Amino acid sequence: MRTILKQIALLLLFTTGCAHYNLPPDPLAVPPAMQHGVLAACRQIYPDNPRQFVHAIDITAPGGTKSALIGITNVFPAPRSIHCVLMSVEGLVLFEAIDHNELIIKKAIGPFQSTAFANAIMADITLTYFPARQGACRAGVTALASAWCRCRALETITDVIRQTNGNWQIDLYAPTGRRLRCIRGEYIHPPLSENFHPPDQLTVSAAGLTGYRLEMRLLSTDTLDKDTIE
Amino acid sequence: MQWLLFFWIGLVGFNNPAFADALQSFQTAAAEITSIQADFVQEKHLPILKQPLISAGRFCFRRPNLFRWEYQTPVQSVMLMNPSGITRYVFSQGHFVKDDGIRLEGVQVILQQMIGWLRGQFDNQSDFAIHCPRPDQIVLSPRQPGMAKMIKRIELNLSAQAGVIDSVFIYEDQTAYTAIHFKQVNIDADVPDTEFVKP
Repeated sequence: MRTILKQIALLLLFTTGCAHYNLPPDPLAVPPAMQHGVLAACRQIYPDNPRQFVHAIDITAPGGTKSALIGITNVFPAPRSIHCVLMSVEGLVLFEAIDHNELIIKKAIGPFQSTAFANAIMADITLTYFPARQGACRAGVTALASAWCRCRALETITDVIRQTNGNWQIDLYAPTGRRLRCIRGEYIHPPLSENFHPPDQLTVSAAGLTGYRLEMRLLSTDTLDKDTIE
Repeated sequence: MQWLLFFWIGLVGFNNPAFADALQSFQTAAAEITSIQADFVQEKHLPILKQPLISAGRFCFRRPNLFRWEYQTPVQSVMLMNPSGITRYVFSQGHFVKDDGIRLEGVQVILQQMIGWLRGQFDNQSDFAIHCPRPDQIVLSPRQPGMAKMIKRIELNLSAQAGVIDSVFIYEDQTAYTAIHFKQVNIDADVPDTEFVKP
């Protein structure tokens, strides 16, 4: 009976998206021969070469107010560097920052001037585009046979779930088990290759009193020629 | 010696009677226009972008002060300006909702300037200094340091059609700018009230 309830709970978890607020039990382990494949499936959601992403972003802020912005994100996986710009729909640059060993804010207007905002946006980009930096990762599967990788670091636990249709989800938990972030990547058409393929839609949900929701539609993506930010 | 040559050209450009006449002609023609409708293509150029970001939309203006600026791709949004102020709506989950999360003074300033241009009003005592380097171009430079941090200058390229602007270039700095090209310009047509209310 408990096993059935557990399976129902897991089923609900992965069919209702980011509905689970606390750390679920460790994933069902896979045989050692399968672990490499599962870890590789989780790893495939991250770009392995420098890339640019341009998104149309719908923001739902605390209190329910809505805004629209355009985001440009350059990611450099090897040095784990980021260059990002936020601009209004009209094209006015509101925020620009580079994170290359240290965070440098090149431009910030109005509500984007806070360091807390800059740190938060860089943390979201890091969580979306770079795998967990440290800690042991456990490979498993969900009840629906999705690949499930859990990586434990000192201060966080990161779950990556990769569904069989290519859609994926990243959950970031505090050591207490409280979920801090949920990022979902969804594809209009399941990716055909096993290489990185950017999702058509990203949804970022941040928990807490200052929580927010970003719905990001991919407008364009390009590979970048340079390996590092200049 | 080159700096002296540039200074002389700039001084002559601003004081050249022929250029002043061109500005006056534009102002006179624009002041006679009761409405303008046009499509536009906007190119956003930034050093970070591998290729310019292209947006498309349309705008309409009805004298004295009703204005609609609408983006159709890649993001749907409508900005309305009327005596009550400026309101932006964004398309979200199948319908337009009011975008009141972020106040953008820089955007509002540009919109108010645009309405002034459409009315043919170029006041050299306003927030922008006016300069005509050639007969078919008006350059506006912000006077206030706060505005200059957001916008370095605006270039209006005039059409051969009297009172009409061909394109607008908005420079945030030397490498970051927005170019807006107008087409399908329709002057003095009836513009219904529905264009200026919530979509």
